[in-house]
Amino acid sequence: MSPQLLFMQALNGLQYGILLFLLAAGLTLVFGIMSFINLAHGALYMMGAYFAAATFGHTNSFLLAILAGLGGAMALGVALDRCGFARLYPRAHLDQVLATFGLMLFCNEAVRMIWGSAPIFMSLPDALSNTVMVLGTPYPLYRLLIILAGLLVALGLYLLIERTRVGMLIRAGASNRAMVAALGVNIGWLNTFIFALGAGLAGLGGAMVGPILSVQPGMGDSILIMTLVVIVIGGIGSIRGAFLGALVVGLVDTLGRTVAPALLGRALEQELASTLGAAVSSLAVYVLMVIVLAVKPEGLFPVKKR
Amino acid sequence: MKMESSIVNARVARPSAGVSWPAALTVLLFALLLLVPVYASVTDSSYVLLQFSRILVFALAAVGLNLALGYGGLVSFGHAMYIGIGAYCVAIASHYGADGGVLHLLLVVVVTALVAAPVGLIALRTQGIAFIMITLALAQMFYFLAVGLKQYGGDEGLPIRQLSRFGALTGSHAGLYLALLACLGASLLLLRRVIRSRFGLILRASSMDARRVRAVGTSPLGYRLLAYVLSAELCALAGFFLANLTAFASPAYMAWTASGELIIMVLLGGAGTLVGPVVGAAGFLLLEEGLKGLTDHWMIIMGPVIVLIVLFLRNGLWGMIVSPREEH
Amino acid sequence: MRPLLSIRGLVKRYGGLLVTDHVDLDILPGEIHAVIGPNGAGKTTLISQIMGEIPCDEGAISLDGRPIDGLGMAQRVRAGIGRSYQITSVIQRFTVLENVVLAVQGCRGHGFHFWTPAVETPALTDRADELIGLMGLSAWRDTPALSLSYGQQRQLEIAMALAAEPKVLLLDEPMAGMGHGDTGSDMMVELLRRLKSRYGILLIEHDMDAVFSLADRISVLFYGKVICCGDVETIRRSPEVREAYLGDEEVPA
Repeated sequence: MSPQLLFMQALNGLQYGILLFLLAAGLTLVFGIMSFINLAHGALYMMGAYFAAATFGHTNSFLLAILAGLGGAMALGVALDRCGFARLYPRAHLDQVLATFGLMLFCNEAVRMIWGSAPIFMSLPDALSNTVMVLGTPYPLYRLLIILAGLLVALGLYLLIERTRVGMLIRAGASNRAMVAALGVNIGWLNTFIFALGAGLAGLGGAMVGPILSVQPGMGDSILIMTLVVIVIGGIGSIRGAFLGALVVGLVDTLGRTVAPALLGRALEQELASTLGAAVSSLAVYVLMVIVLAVKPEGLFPVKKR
Repeated sequence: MKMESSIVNARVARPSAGVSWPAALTVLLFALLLLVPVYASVTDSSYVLLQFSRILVFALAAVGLNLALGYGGLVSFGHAMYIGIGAYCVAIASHYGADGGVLHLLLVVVVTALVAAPVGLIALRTQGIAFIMITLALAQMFYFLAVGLKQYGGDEGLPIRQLSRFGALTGSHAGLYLALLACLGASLLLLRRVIRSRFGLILRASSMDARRVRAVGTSPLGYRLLAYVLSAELCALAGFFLANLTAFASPAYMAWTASGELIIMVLLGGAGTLVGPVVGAAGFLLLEEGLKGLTDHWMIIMGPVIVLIVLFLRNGLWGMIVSPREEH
Repeated sequence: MRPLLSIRGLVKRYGGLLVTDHVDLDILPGEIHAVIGPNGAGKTTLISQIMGEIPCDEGAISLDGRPIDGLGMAQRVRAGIGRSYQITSVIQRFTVLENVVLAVQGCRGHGFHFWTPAVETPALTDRADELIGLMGLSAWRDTPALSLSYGQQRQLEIAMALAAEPKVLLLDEPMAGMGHGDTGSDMMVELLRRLKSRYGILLIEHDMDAVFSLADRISVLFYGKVICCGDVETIRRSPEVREAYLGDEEVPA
């Protein structure tokens, strides 16, 4: 495997990691503040992709499509929070997991009914279809933009949480929810804001990957699991953990899938290598998770609760 | 302050005098289940027999999960993986020509223990939501393993040419059904004793207040791990039967959505009750069949039904009739 | 006389805050050693460290001459420490009998018995009934704990602490929330007086009447530090104690 190929795969891993971060940040934020685990988060990602693809189909405007994905998912988030999720916030986590599981099944089917089971495609505008040179390696411009967009979002989140009053409430809420409520902060408003923010991030992620993945029912399921792995590795409730965890998971998964078969191909004979490689590569992330948990059960960057 | 999960029953019964309703109802339930093969042969409907066999498979799995979830408070979102392991033990052994029924059973028990023990140990290092997510992710690991192993069918699954050999009963649908029913009954009787035993007392106490258990000088880990492994064994046994029922082993048996549905079955019936999971599995699968008959897009109804079950049916169907303590 | 429980130089920090500040404490056999101090002084944290529920940052703890620092909570309990909690922590859904049987079995071998019902095991229930009788709860033997009154639940909690046949009892505000009188704190005081001879007791309490009538020695904890340790008279006369308590609680003359 050439160093150039390796570098390209590393960039892919980074891009995947950034996508995972967009989802993980929302999920972990909602969990950290509202102690609410939302398995329908993957469905929000899926809706973002569908809204974007549908808008692009009608308007042919890439910008509008992205905004539709982001905004649509946010609106959906607000609706969910206002119309029913609030009942679930005080319930035990198992109840939340199961209820949002049911919602996820519903969303997948709804999408299937509206848009059909076949994947729909969103094409890239010409301007974004180029390749650029990164450190001497050709790489698709669009994927690079995803990485940059994700980093910008990460910066924005950091500024929001560390430098604004809302962020202060978020931080306070993450370590001591009851206190924040006791201080007279309108918890309901804060919850809606946080939930909408998380939903928007997920929708943005879905909208951005529309052009490079196929948009189909159930696309949120596998990335949801990956997001959960990210959160478990990074530390539940921790944005920093979500960022670093996402990058690590993105890299390990992508490199695992591409490098492992190649490495095995050198050590073992072809047939065995390819079967083993396929199996092992998707396991790499889970093995990583098991190792992290063996050493640090609370994750790499856990939030300290009072 | 978190409201109590639907897995912890709100009611505590006074000791019942005279006829024990739960026992009577359970006997009635099993009597009805015994009639199914009779009905099937009379009406010559193998479909009914197969459907109810499938219900019994998941009833057994749900009973297994209930030990860990309902009595142990261990919310495993990955128990379907043991159903898959049981099925694949049968399938892979048959693939290599070994089709002895007893051999298959032995394989299932040993392999499941070898997997469940380390998985349980890893997962039990965490608690709460982390435990849920870790069991989910570990189950995914096995799912991908099954999908990735192309020589055993990969994501298309592995057909089983030779079912578990049990002499004259091999391949008999009625025989399978009755064996399932017998296993289910035996499991319930054994569980009844285990729950009331010293082990069961510690397990139940740990699920309600682990700190209190430590404060009396007992460390909950060993008990929880054993409960986890035993519950995995019951699910794997269910997988053994499933493989023989469908002559097929598939990664789909281990999908995380299957684990989710298994939890719903336990909840629907009544977690922490003995017979609840049986009722829950039957209810869930019959509902699914009914909805499938109505529309192709049955999931659009099933999804909200699941949400409603979680929101409103806190004690489960069986839990509404009996309260857990009365079952002793 | 060798102390039953010996704590030397115990330190606990939460971030920059010194919650336990180089605490030295002894409990002698047959004594009631009370620990008093204003709220937030770190009394419950102290007990939690002795029990092993939270780790200490520095210091040594030994039970009957044997260091227990490396042991987990369950192991320390088996070694001979019993504890009652400030906020009652009996298992609400279990009956009185089940709660006490749970406690009795904790220090009697392993719990991997699967056949005989726990509440029909004479080896466990005989001892459990003895303790239930000692606490005067025999009439409620088969009643779920959540149906008991607050005071009865506190009694149950003590029964469970005694079940482990400890050498040392750590009692965290056993009289909290109880009024005076036969079913209230007076009963508890009587009970503690009876228990004193058989165990060493570390008593955290705010009820000063009870403390002064029961305690052999008193340690005063102030912001994590023991500012004074001695018998009742010494504490009453200590200027540091008066100063610490000024505005907090009345020190009965």
